Amino acid sequence: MKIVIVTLLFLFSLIGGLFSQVAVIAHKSVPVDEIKKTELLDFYSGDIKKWSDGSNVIVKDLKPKGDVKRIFYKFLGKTPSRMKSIWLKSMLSGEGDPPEAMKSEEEMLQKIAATPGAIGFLSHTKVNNNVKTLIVIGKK
Amino acid sequence: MFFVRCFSNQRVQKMKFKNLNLRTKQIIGFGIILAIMAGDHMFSIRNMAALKSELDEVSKSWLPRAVAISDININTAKLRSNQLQHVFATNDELKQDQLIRMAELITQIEANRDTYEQLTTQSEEKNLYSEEEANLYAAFDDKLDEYLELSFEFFKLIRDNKNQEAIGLLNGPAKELYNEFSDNLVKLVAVNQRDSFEAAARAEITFNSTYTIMTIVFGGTILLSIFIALGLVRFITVPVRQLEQAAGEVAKGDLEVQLHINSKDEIGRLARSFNQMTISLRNAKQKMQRQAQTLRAQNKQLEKAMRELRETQEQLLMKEKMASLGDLVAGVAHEINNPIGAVNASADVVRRCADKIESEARKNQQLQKTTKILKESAGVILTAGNRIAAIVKSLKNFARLDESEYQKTDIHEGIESSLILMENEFQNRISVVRDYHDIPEIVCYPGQLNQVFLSLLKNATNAIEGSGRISIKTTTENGHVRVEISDTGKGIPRRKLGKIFDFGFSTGDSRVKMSSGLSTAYNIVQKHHGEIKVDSEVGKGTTFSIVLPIK
Repeated sequence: MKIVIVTLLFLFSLIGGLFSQVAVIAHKSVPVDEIKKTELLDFYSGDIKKWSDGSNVIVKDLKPKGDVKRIFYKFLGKTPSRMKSIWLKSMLSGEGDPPEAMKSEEEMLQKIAATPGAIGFLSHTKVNNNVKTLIVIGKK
Repeated sequence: MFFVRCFSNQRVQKMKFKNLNLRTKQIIGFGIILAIMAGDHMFSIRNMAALKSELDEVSKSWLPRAVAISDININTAKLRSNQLQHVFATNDELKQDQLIRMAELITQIEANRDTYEQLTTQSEEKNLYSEEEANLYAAFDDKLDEYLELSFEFFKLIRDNKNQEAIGLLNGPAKELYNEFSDNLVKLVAVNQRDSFEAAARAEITFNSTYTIMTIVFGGTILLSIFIALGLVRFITVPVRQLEQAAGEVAKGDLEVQLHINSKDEIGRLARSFNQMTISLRNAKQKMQRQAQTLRAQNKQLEKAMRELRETQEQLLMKEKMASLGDLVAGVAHEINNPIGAVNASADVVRRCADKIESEARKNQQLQKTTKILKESAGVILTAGNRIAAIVKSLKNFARLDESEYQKTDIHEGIESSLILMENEFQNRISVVRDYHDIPEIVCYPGQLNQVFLSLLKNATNAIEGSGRISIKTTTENGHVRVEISDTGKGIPRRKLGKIFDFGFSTGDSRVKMSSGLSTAYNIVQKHHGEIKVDSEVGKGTTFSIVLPIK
């Protein structure tokens, strides 16, 4: 009986590792409590630059390549390079600079918490009360 | 229903093709041909579909992918070249143009990437997107990502007028990255080209193999169809032809025909019925033949009986005639004998009286003359009387009425009696030559034998036209007596010789009377266990020979 429980726990932990969850977070001041994929894509591709209350949307990217970045971009339906192409085009046409890329998830958390209108992503496990979670990507 | 029947048959006995119905045979034969043709068709359709999908993949995916990647390669090269030019551009307007141009290039690159990714997604669904290509593209994506990140920095440096640093960036890490992803792109094109070629080669191989197989299978199908058709012909036409031939032979009358067709189909059943039919026919024919034979035998017996009856009747008639003739002759002879005796005795007395008168009347010339006449007359009377007595004796002898039983008889005596009776018919025209040898008396019915001699003598007399000769020869040989009676008459034609002893036979008007005579003679000789033969030559004469046993 014990062996079975231990085995099950081990399996659950494995599944948890495989399906690590990514949380889309925002500064607490943003006027929304949740966000859909299309809206997220609109923000990240720069099609929509303002929140519903008129404040600027400040998009943050994550520099280190890893599961978090991979899961997030997969959710968006774009590869990082394709996203960057869009940003470069915007930059060239003078519409604005590309989002700032955070060097770590900790920096991401810190920057989002400190920047009004900011939106970004990180491991769900690393989310704290300083930020607002808009959506959690990946199954529980 | 059919299959159930087949199955049940199979359980009862090992199912053989030849035991099937004609209909089933034909259905199976054509079914096999049809199945093979359907198989050929399915095979070719399947291979053609494979061929089409290969070629489709080449034309719809690999080649467009290669084109898209080439375009990306060109456009990234242009992007990089524009970036380089951008550093050295002095004119603001030119710089602005270049920025617009670069944005356009990025748009084109994105469009091509869209195209490529869409195509690869489709190929992936068909499991035709190779891992190698996927890895190459992922690597390209990665490098491009880094390059673009450097591009952000580059443009920021340009904006801050840090041209030297911008150039350093572009010629340093960016150049390396560019070379790397450009390499990846070139490789991607190569991979796509290679895959296209391989697909084309595969398509060609598939086409060639399909073509070869189809040719072989087509030939095989034709051969098999011929084989099956011949088999059907063998199973259907050959027995029918055998049946036809057999029927023809039966029609010609050969009932020994038997068919050896063992199949259990309609033809087999027909053949068995046919065999039974011929057997029945044969039996019926044999029965008929037996009946006909019996009928013929009975008919022959009947004919024989009829003939015997008629002969017996005739013989009876003859016997009756002879009997009455015998009675008459006996009566006449008896009546004549007494007066003849008186005549003879009186003639003797007359002669002796005449002798006495002669001696008394020697002196009387006239008397002498008278007595002489008297004596002569008496002599004539005596001679005539003796002759009459001899005839009567012969008549009695011939008739033998007193001797009708089996007894020893002298043949010569019988022949002579018959000759005496025939003498009147011979007259002067026929001479008789006797060649008698010393023969023993034989045991016989003398009266009947005399009848035979008389018949033969009459026959000989009738055969002689005008003058002629009858020769009679008697001899002995091996316990037998042979009597030959030959004439110098007209003879009997050879073709009629065999029939002359038949009852009622006649060669002409002159012989009608004798017709029954020869057959009677034949029967009498037969009764005496003897033989009667005839030998004749037309124009020269006929010889009848009778051989009779002595005892």
